[in-house]
Amino acid sequence: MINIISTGTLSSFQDFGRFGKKKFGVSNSGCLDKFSFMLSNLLCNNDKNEASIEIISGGFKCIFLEEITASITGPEGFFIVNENKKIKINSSINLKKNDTLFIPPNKNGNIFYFSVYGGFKIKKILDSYSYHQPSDITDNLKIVSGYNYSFKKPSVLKERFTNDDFFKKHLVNNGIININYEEEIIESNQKFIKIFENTDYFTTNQFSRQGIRLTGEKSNFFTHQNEISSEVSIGTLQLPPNGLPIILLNDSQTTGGYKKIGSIPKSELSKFSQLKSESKIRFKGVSTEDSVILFNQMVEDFELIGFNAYSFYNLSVNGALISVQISENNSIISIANNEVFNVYKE
Amino acid sequence: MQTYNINFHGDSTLVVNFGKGIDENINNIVHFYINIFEKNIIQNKYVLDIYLTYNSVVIDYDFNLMESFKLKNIIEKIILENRIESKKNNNFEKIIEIPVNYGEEFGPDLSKISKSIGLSEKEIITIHSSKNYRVHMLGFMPGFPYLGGMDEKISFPRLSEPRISIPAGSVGIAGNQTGVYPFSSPGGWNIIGRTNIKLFDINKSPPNFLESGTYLRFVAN
Repeated sequence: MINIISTGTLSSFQDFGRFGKKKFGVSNSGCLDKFSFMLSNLLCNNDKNEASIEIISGGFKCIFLEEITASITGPEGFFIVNENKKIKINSSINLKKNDTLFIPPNKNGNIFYFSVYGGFKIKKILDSYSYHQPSDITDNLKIVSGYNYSFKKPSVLKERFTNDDFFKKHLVNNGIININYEEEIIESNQKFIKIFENTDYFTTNQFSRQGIRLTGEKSNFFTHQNEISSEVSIGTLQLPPNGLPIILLNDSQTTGGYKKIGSIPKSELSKFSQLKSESKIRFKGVSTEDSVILFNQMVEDFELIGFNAYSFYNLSVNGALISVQISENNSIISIANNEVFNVYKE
Repeated sequence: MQTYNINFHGDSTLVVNFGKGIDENINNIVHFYINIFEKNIIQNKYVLDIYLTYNSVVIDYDFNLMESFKLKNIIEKIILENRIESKKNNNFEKIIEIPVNYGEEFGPDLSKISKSIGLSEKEIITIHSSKNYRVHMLGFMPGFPYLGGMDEKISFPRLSEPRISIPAGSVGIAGNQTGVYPFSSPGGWNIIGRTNIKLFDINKSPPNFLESGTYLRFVAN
């Protein structure tokens, strides 16, 4: 069991999401960064779809009331156990009664996942463990300060970690976000596409599980709209009459009435969700065929992620404590002070 | 021959469009075909969601289990093999009554609309509660009905500044539309009344009180 000390901006239970319910107006919800979500479960030897706690923007703290193996995944950085042990993100760790765990905000990304070995003891709502922000139907799946959350089977595993190569290759902002344009946009709005793809956009702090607003030079296209509400999905890029794009995320409404430009493909959604506020991006059109290939390449790379058991040391260097994790075969060494340095054996 | 158009939205959504605009006949065709599609393909693992809009059936699918062009062929074959016989609506026997407390604390915008359009509050209530409204689709939020058919005499523009919170069950008017909020939510609709009916209840199966393709009538308490 854990007791929540602070939740940060929003912490909630998530799994892959809720499907087959859009006909009732219920959106998919589910983890924003599917790959980091799956990684947190794999580090705990769980099924990939076991419910984890998704933490947006860090600031999450809890205390453990019994022993368990837990994992934290997400952007490169560290989390802190008992105020002085800095453990690299993408590690599992054994925690004892009265241990505390804190996930600080991180300059490399937004979204973290916290899994425990065997999973949390919670009930599905409408066939899923995913919290749905815009309604009150899943309030039991929102993490609340002061509340306790139980484990299914409190026990421990070997502590393991992975390097951050997958995250660095696929989930770090490279300045380009792919988009599958609507067929109508490709057929009759090539001029718009040219200007759109040459515009710098910036993510804003208007970010929620429902969507994110971008800022940048306002588009002069589609300023008079008379759209009727129609289908939207995770990643739909809408352009309202004000000329600034909105990208819908997992908890968005199931139908929308603004002009649809296209959709961010599945291969880009984890990276997009991890974008920090004020990140600069440009959009680049790709075919759906190419985006499927890119997604499958990501899956292949993900399947190759290796896990290494590690030993932890807190070293005192010139009076400062430095945390060191060393893998069994010395192939990965992680050193965390206020930054994480990964040292690789040649 | 049924006219339709198949498009893709992103890499995981196929859209079968049966026409333009908000039209009961088109919405009837959509309801006919969503039932056929569900019978034929919903048991397949590649189908993640099937739902409808005013004029389309939408299928979210797993592209690792079904290629887009193959899904398109499957849908085209189903349409070819299943022709709709009548576009007429036969759902009028399913008129759901929604009791509403109009005005006062339940409908804070009713008196403003009354003064502005020159009809008494009673007249507005009579007009609003005298029609059968088609539930074209559910969407936006769980259980929210997109209704068609409001009398233009009581149309009224959205609030210039949305309210931070509107109580669950609020009955509103925005332009030519009327609707009911299933949950407390921010909103820019003019609120004329409130119902105690719970439009979405996870403890019921199905959880939605209203079904798309049916009709509702507001009944003044």
